[in-house]
Amino acid sequence: MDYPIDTIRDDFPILSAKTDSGAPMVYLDNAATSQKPSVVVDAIRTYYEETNANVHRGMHHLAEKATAEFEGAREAIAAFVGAPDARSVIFTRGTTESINLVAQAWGRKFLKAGDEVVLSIMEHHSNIVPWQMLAQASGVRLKYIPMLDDGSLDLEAYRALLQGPVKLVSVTHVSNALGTVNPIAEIISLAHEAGARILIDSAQGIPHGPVDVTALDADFLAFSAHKMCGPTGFGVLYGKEALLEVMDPFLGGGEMIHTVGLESSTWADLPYKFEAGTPNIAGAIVTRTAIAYLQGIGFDAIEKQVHDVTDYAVKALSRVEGLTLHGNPPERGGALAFNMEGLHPHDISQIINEEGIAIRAGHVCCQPLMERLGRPAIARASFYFYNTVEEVDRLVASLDTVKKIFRI
Amino acid sequence: MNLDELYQEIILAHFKRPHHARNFAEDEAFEEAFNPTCGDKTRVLGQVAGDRVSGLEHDTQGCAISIASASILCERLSGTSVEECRAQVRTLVDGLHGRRVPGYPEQDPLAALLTVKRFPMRIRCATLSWEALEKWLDRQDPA
Ligand SMILES: Cc1ncc(COP(=O)(O)O)c(C=O)c1O
Repeated sequence: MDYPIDTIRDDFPILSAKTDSGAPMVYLDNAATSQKPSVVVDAIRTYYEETNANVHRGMHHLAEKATAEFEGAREAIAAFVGAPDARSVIFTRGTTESINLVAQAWGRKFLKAGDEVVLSIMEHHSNIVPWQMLAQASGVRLKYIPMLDDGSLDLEAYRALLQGPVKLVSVTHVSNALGTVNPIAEIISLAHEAGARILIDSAQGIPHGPVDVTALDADFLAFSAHKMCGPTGFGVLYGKEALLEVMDPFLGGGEMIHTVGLESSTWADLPYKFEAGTPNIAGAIVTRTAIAYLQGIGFDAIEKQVHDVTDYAVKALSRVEGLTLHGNPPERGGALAFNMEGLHPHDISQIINEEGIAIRAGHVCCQPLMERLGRPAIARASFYFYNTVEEVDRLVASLDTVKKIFRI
Repeated sequence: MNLDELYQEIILAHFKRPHHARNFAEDEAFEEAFNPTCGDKTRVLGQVAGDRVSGLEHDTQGCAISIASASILCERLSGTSVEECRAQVRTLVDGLHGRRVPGYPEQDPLAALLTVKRFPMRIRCATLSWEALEKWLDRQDPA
């Protein structure tokens, strides 16, 4: 069966929007956040109109309904990532909070001065800064896996780093800047062979294909709902139950306690120990809707469409004179980064915006990677399963306008 | 919005061949302004004798607007007084933020720079070097 691109695009009313200049929009900023299909938007409304109540607290009809849907979402998300038990699925505000949770609640308790945490040079700031905060507080040392010129991680150097006193490796599944898909199965088993724990930042991975945390033997895995058709401000930390059990809480407050005394308290069981305060209830419930929507299209179909469109874009952009595409990794997800001779990415982005084309320009939250590329900023186009090769053609054509305006 | 207003001839000329631009050594007495949202960076330095500012130069990594702005700054403000420099910084920054309309003559490159105010996302690009200049002036304070 042919890929039903037209019906899929109809699921996203925003895709037929026009920009201020009247141009039909081409949304190529999916690595920043994906668009939301009507089923997800409707589910938010339905939740607030028919279910809204606080969870785990009331005895009344709505409280029961909200709690059942909220915990049902946890079961569904656990099944989606292959977690053996829903207790090991912690709800957070997103990848950033998930990583901070591990850095604080696990790192502070189990890492000491001189221990090493291995990151990579292509990490998003949210997988760097929490570790720097930990390092400053505890004397833990940070090491970075370097990158080869093709945009893939230097696994030889990684093996060498693992000879050190490494206690944790925390790396991205897919680079949000270059689109590199890292060989996480290999990265995980190497970490384990060296006796280190591993955290996978799958913010850019899971949206394009499901992962199985059990098969991968991941210790921790983090992702955000908003990059996979779900709402902003909701995300997940998966952790192995045995690790989560012995960790201290992250934030203190309601929900996360067992008993509260005047001087001290005891902690709730998993997963609530890490979920202080009223959670993003609608976020959880609607994320389940988003996952079901993606499964309805089928992750194989999603992967193929993204792959085809990205491949087409790589070829088309390579033919643009004066354009440098960064990296040519063995496996690429739905993102690519480029620069154009004599042009700053901001100017590119500003000009093509007039033609309705939305890309990202700047350091894309990866300043160490920019340093490695020797560029203060890049232009990034990133694709999802509703993008088309015709949209890539419009991107490429718009670059001519940029050159014309700059007389290049 | 018309892009020709943003990328006027004079702006493009300053971007392509920025005046008074060079790579500074790390130990020179520049002041720097940085835009963390985009990573653009500009450095400004010059000399002060009495109350005269001269030899303003910049080292800018950024977009067409930020480079052109730094170039125009150095060209326009070298040779004026410290007080005049400060006044010009305020006039341009206030003008870009729409707080007051400066009376720049039509042919003045500053008038071209001022049109950036219609592109709110780019205002900081235009003000970056002027922020660096202000910091540098603060450091020269003879008092
Ligand atoms: C690779 C990667 N990690 C982490 C994050 C942070 O995600 P969030 O802002 O949803 O917490 C992002 C988002 O841009 C990302 O691309």
